[in-house]
Amino acid sequence: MSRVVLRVENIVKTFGKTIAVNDVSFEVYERELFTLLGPSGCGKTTTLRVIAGLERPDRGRVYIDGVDVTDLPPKDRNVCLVFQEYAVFPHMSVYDNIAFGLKAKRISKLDIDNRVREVAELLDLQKVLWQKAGKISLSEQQRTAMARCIVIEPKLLLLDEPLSLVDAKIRERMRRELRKMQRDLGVTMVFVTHDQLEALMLSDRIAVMREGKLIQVGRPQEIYDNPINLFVASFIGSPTMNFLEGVLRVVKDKLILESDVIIELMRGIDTSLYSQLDGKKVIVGFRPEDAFISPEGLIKGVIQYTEIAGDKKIIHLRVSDKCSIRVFVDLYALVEVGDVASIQVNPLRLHIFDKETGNKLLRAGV
Amino acid sequence: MTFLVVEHMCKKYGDKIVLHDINFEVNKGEILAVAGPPGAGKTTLLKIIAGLLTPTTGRVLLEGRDITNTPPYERNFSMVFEVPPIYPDRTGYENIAFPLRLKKLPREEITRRVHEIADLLGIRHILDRKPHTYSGGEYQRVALARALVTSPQVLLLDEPLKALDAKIREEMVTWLKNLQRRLGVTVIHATHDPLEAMSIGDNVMILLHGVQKQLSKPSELLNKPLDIEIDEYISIPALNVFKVRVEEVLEESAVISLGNLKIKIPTRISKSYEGKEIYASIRPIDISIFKSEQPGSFKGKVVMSQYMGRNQLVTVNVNDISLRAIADKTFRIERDDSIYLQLKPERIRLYDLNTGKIIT
Repeated sequence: MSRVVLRVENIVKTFGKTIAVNDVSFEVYERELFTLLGPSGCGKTTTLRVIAGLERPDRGRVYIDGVDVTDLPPKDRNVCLVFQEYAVFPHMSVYDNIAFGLKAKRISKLDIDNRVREVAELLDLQKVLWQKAGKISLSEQQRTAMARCIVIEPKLLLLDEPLSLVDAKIRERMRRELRKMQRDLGVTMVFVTHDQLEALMLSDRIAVMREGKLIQVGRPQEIYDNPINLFVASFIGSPTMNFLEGVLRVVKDKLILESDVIIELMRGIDTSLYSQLDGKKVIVGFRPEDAFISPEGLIKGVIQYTEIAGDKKIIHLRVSDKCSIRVFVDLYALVEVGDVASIQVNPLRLHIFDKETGNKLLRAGV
Repeated sequence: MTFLVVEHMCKKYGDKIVLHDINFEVNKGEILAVAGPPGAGKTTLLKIIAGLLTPTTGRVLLEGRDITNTPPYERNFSMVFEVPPIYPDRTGYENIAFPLRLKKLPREEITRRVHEIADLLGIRHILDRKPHTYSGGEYQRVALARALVTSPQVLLLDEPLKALDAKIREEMVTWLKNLQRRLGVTVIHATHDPLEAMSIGDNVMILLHGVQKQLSKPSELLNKPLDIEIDEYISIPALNVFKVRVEEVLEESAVISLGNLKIKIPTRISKSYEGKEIYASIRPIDISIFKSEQPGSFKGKVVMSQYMGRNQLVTVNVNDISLRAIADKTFRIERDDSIYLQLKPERIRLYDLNTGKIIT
């Protein structure tokens, strides 16, 4: 890919005894939308604040456009941070909100006017330019907050959960607008969210964080299709991946999972792996959309209930006392609670994790 | 006899009407989900049922008995709020035991019931801990435990999951539904999220700006929204809506034109619509994407593709019309690709241009 705009190197940040960020490193490329994703308290916001210069790291360096900015104050970094609650001045017009950052920079009035109008047009704000920012819609407020950042032409736009306070319904549209705007303007963005779907929908690349550590970095599809451990596997994807706990057995050249059910995981495995795999305690995962109802299916259970998930129906299948799994079926499919269903899993889409470490052992079919 | 009935309920604050003529019934052991955007009147409705507010007109009946003027403490209903007030300086045990102490139950009975409910909700481990050590999910479970420990006749939940992270919220929906089935408690669950409502409710009421728009089973709601406002509200990802012209009304079908595209829809509509404009809607999931031309397909250009894990949301321009469709996760797609869209005619719903009501 293109030029590196941001390099974060071995950042450590502690608050008292709590290690908020624990040796985190990554690079963000020009025109990229890079997302820091993780549950509350994983260190994503602290990482963003370190990049913005609002927190000083205990260790590590931050480079923007190749320049070490670790010791520079926020205003000298040429980055702009948009917060969870859009900091628009409600009593000021959209125009004055956008012009605000420029006025502080001692630019001629004419230049300010030109730049404000240019950015307003890009973000489709011309119609509300003279309205008070407190009176416009949430989406317009978001764009105003963005416009105020973009007008100063920062090298990097940092966004801290900008959509989390918006209603579910509007959020989807705003995600689309944000992504389109980021692409059209060619802005480099670092985005923070706890919402995995938001991360998948918006990002060029995602960094999944947990307890201050960076767990996996990759394109949305890589993270979704190839999670490197149980945490990423269960955190990404909705509904959550199904998990079956059991013991691996090698029978001839077949790899078998002994659990509440017995399923063949793969064939033709390398003989050199036999001793390593046989008897290993594992957790086998598969996504609800990678299984389907089939009379030949080896995993049998009773349908406990069904639920509607927008475009599909989910059936909850009780396989054993401890284990229940979810499978997607067609939205209009006729399945009833209490029916016995057997399901088959796409063998190419099984994930095998070491029970002890949680790390990926094998990806079936690979 | 129906367990809980709400009849002709209205609530006004001065001239402002917050609830217009609400009518519904809930059977014992059922979950009624009330879905509506913020400001729709969900909290007011729940508070009236709880007895915390009096309705301007209308009645609340419990097993046939009028309880409209019964004070809250005599109703034996419990209510859980978005951010439930839990005493920060008391342990989980003390918080859960609180309503039982108010009832002056014997100490052994209180201990037994607190432990019973804590086991059921999987929060035994936090009984000795104070609220600041809880995770979001645990906090919400303690609030639920406190609401359930009195074995209420009706449990009223006001956006109990809204403050939680998306991932935890999703797990809590499944968990809550399982719990409700085991306890058999009657629940009214208010939420702004139509998908949460449809996945948790046996029945769903759509409440928009104080008006009860529709009350039906989730599948029926999805298949037959009564008007376009409901259809737009419940469809996530966002519904495709167009103004179309009815070209021809036939025996069992109608031909509509959308720009220069003509589509035959297997819906029987009145002849009076011929030549008139109406609204047509279709969900992204009901549009299929192909790389090559298909019978009845339209050629379009990809504007954007948003990866969603199990599938992707694709925005496509067909002539001047922008459509959103769902493609499988394995479908390779790039911006500016030429593709073909096939709309499932039986999934296109038609609405009157003036009233917004569904045309069937």
